[in-house]
Amino acid sequence: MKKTFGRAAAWLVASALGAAAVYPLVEGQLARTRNAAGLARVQNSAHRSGEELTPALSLRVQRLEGLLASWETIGGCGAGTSTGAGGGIKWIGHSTSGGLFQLQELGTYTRINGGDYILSLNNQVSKDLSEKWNFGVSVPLVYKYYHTPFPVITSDFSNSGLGDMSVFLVRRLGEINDTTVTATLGLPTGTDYVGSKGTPFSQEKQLGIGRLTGGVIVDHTLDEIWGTIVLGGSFSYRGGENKYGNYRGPVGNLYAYSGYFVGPFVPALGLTLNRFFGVDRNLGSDQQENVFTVAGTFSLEWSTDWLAILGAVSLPYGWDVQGKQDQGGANPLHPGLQPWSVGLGVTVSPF
Amino acid sequence: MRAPALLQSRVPWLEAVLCLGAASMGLAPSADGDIWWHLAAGREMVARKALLFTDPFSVGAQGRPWVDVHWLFQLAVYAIHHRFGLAGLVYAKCAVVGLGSLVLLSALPNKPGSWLRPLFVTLLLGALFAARSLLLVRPVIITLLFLALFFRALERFQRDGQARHLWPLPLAQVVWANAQGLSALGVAVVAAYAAGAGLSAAWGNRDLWRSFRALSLTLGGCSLGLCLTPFGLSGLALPARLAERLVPSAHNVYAYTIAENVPPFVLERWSGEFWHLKWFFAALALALVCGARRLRASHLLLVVEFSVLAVLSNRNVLLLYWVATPIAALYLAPVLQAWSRRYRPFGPRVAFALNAGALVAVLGGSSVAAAQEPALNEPSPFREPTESARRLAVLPASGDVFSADHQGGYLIWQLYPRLRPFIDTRLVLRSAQEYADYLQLADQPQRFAAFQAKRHFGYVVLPVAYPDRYLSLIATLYKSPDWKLIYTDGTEVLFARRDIATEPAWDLGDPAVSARILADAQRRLGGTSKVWTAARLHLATLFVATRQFGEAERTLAPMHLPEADALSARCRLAAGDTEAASRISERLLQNNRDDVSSLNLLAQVALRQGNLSKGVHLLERALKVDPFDGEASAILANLEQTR
Repeated sequence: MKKTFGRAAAWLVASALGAAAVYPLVEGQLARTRNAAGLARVQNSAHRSGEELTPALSLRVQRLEGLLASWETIGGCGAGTSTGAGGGIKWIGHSTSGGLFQLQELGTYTRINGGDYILSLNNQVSKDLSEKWNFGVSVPLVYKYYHTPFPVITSDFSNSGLGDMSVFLVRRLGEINDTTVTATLGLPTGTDYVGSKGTPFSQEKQLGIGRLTGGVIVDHTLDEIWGTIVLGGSFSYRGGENKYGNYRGPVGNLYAYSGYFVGPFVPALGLTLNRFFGVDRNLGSDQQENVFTVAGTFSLEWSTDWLAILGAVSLPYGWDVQGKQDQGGANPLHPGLQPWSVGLGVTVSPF
Repeated sequence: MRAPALLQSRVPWLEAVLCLGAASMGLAPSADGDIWWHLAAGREMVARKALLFTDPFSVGAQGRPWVDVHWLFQLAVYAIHHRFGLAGLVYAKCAVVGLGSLVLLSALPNKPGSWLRPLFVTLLLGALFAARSLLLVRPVIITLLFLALFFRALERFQRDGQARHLWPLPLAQVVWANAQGLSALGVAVVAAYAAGAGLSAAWGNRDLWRSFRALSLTLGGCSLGLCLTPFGLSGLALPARLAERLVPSAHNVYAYTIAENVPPFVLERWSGEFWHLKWFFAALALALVCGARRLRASHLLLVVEFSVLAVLSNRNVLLLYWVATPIAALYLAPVLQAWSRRYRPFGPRVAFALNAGALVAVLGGSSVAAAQEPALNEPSPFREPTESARRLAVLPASGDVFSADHQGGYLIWQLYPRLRPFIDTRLVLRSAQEYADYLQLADQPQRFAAFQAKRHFGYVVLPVAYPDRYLSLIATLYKSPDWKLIYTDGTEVLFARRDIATEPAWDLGDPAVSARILADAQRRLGGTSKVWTAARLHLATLFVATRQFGEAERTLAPMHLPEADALSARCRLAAGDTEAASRISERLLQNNRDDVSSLNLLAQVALRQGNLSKGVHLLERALKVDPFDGEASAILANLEQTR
């Protein structure tokens, strides 16, 4: 596991460096697209004849290239949205704006019964392609720890590494972009058949499902003087059944969040209703599951133009148990409180 | 089969090549304005026999508390300058860079037959050559040496686990903390190794708990060392204050207006100076992928730390190259070695030839670049107001001096205490609002009169082209009845308040004046050099800015260069002769169909003539060649506003 995690970290940093390496090229292409759109707007509109153009004559005629002499260089001192995922935690405050791209890191700790827990770090980079479109990539790193008290031998095991990466495309609608539609495509990058001592872990302990997943999220934001309200819903196809007979069923949810502006702070309360369409299966066998859950969330966000920090806690309650109890029968599922999560996130919008 | 000699570790002259090669990268005259207030501070401390705790030098911050954590560096550079002059400072900088590179080399394992060290030599020299514009005479050079010392000690400890490597670090941290504000990097580097050991131990490598404890103790010692400055908690807070200023944000006046703080990828839109950074990132990514299986967490953390710093601010690119190059070599060398051996006997020979060729090319390029630089015993041309300062030294000391911030240090060095500038580059002494107000004087020169009414400056010293931000202010002062132009060589201007200057004002429209300026500049700079050509272009720019179009044309006429023709076209356009401006630009376009400057000018002409479609077409061509061109973008923005 250590090697897997280390390798994933190396690949993650290498990917970030690779992205930095191609950034100037991508930025140039985006600027060309922006310029072309601006020129088309000008060409297609009636120019007010006789309007005096603001003088834009530059006297800088030398173009600086690389490997300059000491006196030619520029350096030296002197003047010269969130589509985050994880534990029902949602950014709804001011967040950040205006940067060339947005980098969002959201770490969540989910406490499961009996000392089990899941740690996840979701790394998300998104970029506004235009005023209406946004595109992003999400790279989750996951650590799952389980403590299983077998009748004779107690076993501790963990599974960690890269989860299922996803790409997403956001379309903003309305005159003030107050409605967003997000389409997500999940890629099967997380391992889906890892086990211990020859026995594969059950499907929920795997890092991925090994299949493409997808989802659609619709958000509508109501901006008020005192704060903000976000209403929305989503539907996710979680991959269906893989070749090992593991199945993750689709899920839909409806949610409402409301935040109150206190200077740079935004405390917020949220409520999310989840409905699972069918129970999940492990190696072909149904698993017990609360088909309905409702989660209450409290978050506190602090933000500046380029940096936002979020702390949040989410507490779900589940009911309508369906599916079969595990063969061991140690932990039958009942309606009631579900694994809770706490999260800490940072968003930066540099340049 | 044995690998060729240059690719083996135990080559006796490898150290010499690295040391001399790295040192040669710094062979350029001093181009940074900070060094002058450092020298002035050293001189003042020697004179007072005491440290400085408040600012004695500038008008705008006089008497304010000054956390001068550079005091050791300042005393050292003053001593060197006092004995050996400015050239001595440049040679001392080169020596420190050469020494630092040797320390970095000694941090790497020296296994017989390994390609690690030869590859590192080529990579480091290449990286330093690319970033040579950042090898300035300033305290960051000391930071390079300390970073190398820390890296060496921590790598050696990581290899053999002997705590004796770590003991000197807290002591070194104390010296570093009193030489530069970047000294917090020492703590950050130790923290990366401690976190790496802690993570590895937590993941099951129990032997590393001992290393973690030793590194944690060292981290504590270094953190304590960081506090040991004469400035107490203020000294400790300084690195955080400086780091905060690097974070890019539309509201951070320091991030985008101070040249060295601008993020390198933003700078790349306007200048090719940081063309190499993307390639360095790509090479670093390749190294991490090659070494993913055996990558140490400490190395990964160091790469992340220094990459983030480099992306935030162009001045940190040098630090990234310095620290990440040995890490990249550590992971690339074994892979390259194994890969080339699969193609014996030619693989190692080809690798040898490539490494040797790259090394020779870098050293050759560096030699050529150094040979083209002006003399080392003078400041780099156009950077400092050398001639204005010479004149101010004998003019009446009435009122203070308003100058460009980057030139304030030089004026302090030359004129303090007789005359003092309003501002210099010690921006920690000034609030963000004060700095923004200062910048507005250049960007909106009509504000200067009200500012002058409060400050009563006696003189104004400004640069013409490096940067060209002050051109509007120069034009405003030249027209003002309250000021007299009393000196210019085309690259700097000196104005005096009319009531204190007894000498006549220079009339830039007088051919005799321009002939005198040219003759004087030619005598100082030589009549054929690249510097002389640049100076002549600056003078012509000054003439255009002050609307002396005839003199501008006369200055440009003998030059026969595309830049001169482009400026000449702009001069004609500004004078209203659109036909001549178009003719010159079309001729330039025949020679280079991607000449953005000419496309912009022709676009402006077409738009002024009401030919929107032609103007937009020309603009489209310009923006295809350079999508970030400032002038083309400004024309497009204006068009969009008026549509």
